[in-house]
Amino acid sequence: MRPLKALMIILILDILMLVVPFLAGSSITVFHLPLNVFVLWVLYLSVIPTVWILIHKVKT
Amino acid sequence: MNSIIVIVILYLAAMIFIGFLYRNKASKDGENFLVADRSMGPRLGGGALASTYASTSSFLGTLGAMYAFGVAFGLWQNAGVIIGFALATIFIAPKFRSYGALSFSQFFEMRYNKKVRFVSAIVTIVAMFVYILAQLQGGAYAVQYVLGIDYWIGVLVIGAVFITYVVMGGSHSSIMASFIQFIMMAVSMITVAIVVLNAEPWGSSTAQALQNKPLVFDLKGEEGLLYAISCFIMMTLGAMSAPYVYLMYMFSKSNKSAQTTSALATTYLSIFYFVLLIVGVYIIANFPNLDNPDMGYFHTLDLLPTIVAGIFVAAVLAAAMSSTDAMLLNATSAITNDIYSIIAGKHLSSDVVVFVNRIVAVIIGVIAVLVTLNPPDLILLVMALAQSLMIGAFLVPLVLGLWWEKATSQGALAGMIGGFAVTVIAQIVPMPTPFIGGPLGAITSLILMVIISMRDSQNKVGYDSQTINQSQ
Repeated sequence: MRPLKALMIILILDILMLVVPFLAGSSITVFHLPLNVFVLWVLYLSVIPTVWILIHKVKT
Repeated sequence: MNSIIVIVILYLAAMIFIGFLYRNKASKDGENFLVADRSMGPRLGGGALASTYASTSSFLGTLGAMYAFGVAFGLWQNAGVIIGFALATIFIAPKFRSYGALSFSQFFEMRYNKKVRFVSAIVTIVAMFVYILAQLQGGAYAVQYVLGIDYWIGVLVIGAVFITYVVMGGSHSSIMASFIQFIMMAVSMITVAIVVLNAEPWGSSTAQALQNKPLVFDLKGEEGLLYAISCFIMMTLGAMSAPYVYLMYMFSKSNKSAQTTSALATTYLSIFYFVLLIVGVYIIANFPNLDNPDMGYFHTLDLLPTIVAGIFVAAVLAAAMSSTDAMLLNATSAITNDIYSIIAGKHLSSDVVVFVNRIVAVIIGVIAVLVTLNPPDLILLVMALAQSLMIGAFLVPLVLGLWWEKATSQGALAGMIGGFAVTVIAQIVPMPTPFIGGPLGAITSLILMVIISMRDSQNKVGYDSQTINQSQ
C-alpha cells in the first residue's frame, strides 16, 4: 500500500472520531452512556487493528 | 498504610537494583549508555514506550481533566494521543530509526546541517528540563497526598532513585525500569477498573455522575467545543513531536522493530485510556467535591486489596520515573553528543564518553531536584509552553525531513525558528484556547519551510543549468 493511501485511512479515522460522535446525538444511551460519548469511547479501540494492518501493508 | 509504604520501598529498591544490574553493560561505550547498543526488541520496547509516554500528567491528569471539564474532554484529549501515536508508528518510526542517530538532535544534522542540530539541541534541553521538573513535582505531590510524606522528601527520594538508575545503567536500565513500570501501571489500571465496576452497578455510577455534574457527558465538555477540539489537535501533534518517544525508536534493534514497538505502545495506550473512563465516572459519581481532582484516583485505594493498593501507589511513582529517566537521557545526550560536538568540533573520546555522560546526567538531575524543591509558580504554564515549543519547533522539520526530498537546511532552520517564535508569541497573546500555540507554530513552520525549500530548490536548478551551460 502506498503511504499516501495509509495517511488517508488514518485521516478518515481521525475525521470519524471528530464527526461521528456529533452525528450520533445523545438521545439514545448505550452502556448507560449517551450514544455520542459511547461512540467516541469505542472508536479508541478501532485504532488498534488499523495500526496493525497498516504497518504490515505500508511500504515506508 | 504500612504495607503500602513497604511495597513502595521495595519498588524503589528494585529500580536501584536494575541500575546496578546494567552498570557494566552501560559502561562499555557511548552507544551502550545512550541508546542501549540499539538492541531493544519490541516486546520490551512496546511496554517501555507506553509507560514513558503515560506520565503522571496522563495517569492522574486525565482523570483531573475529566473531573473538571467533563468525561468527553478527557476522551478528546486521549483520542489525540492515540491518533498521534498511530501516525508516528506508520510514518515516522521506521524512517527515523533508519538514520541511526545517537541523539534526537543528531538526526537534524544527518538530514540537514549543524545549525539545525544546534537549535534543536537547545530546545530539547529546555523542554526536557521543564518536563523533568513537572514530573518530579507531580510524583511528589501524589506521594504527599496519599502517604502524608512531606513534599520535599518525595522530591528527594524520587529524584535520588531515578538519577541513580539512569547514571548507573544508562539507557539499558531506563528500558528495563520503564518496562517494569508499565507492568505495574497496567496491573493497577485494570484492577481498579474491575474493582469499581464490582463496587457499584455501572448504571448507578453514570446516573450519580450526571446528577453531580449535569454536563459530565456533554460532548463539547464544560469549556466548549473549541477547547476540546484544540486539545485533541495539540495532543495529536504533541505525540508526534516528543523527543523521548524518538529515544525509544533509537533504542530499537531494527527499523521494523521500532515500528512494532510503536504499534504495541499505541495498542497499550488505547486500552489504557479506554479503561480510564470507567474509573473517571466512578470518581465523579462518588466524590463530588474534591479539592484536588488530579488526586481523585487515590480515593479508590480503600476498595483495593492491600498489595494492589501498594502497587497502585508505586505505579504513580513509576509513571513519574518512567518519563523522567527518558527525559534525563534526552537532555544528557543533547549536551554530550550535540552541543559538545558542535562547539568543540569533535566527539568525546571513547575512554571518557560514558564517564562524561554520567557526570552530565547527575548535574542535570541534581539541578532539576533542587529547582523542584522550590518550584516556580508557573511550572504548569511553562510545561504547556514546553510541549507547544516541541510541536512548533520539531514536528514539521522532522516529518518533511523524512518524507520530502526537497526539504532543505535553510527551510528547516527557518521552519524551526519561525515555529518556535510563533509558539512563544501565542502563549503571550490572549488566545481563545490555551492549546492553540503548538498547532499555530506548526502551521507557521510548514509555510516557512515549504516556501524556503522550494526557493532553494529552484535556485539550485537555476545554478545547475547555468553551470552546465558554462561548461558546454
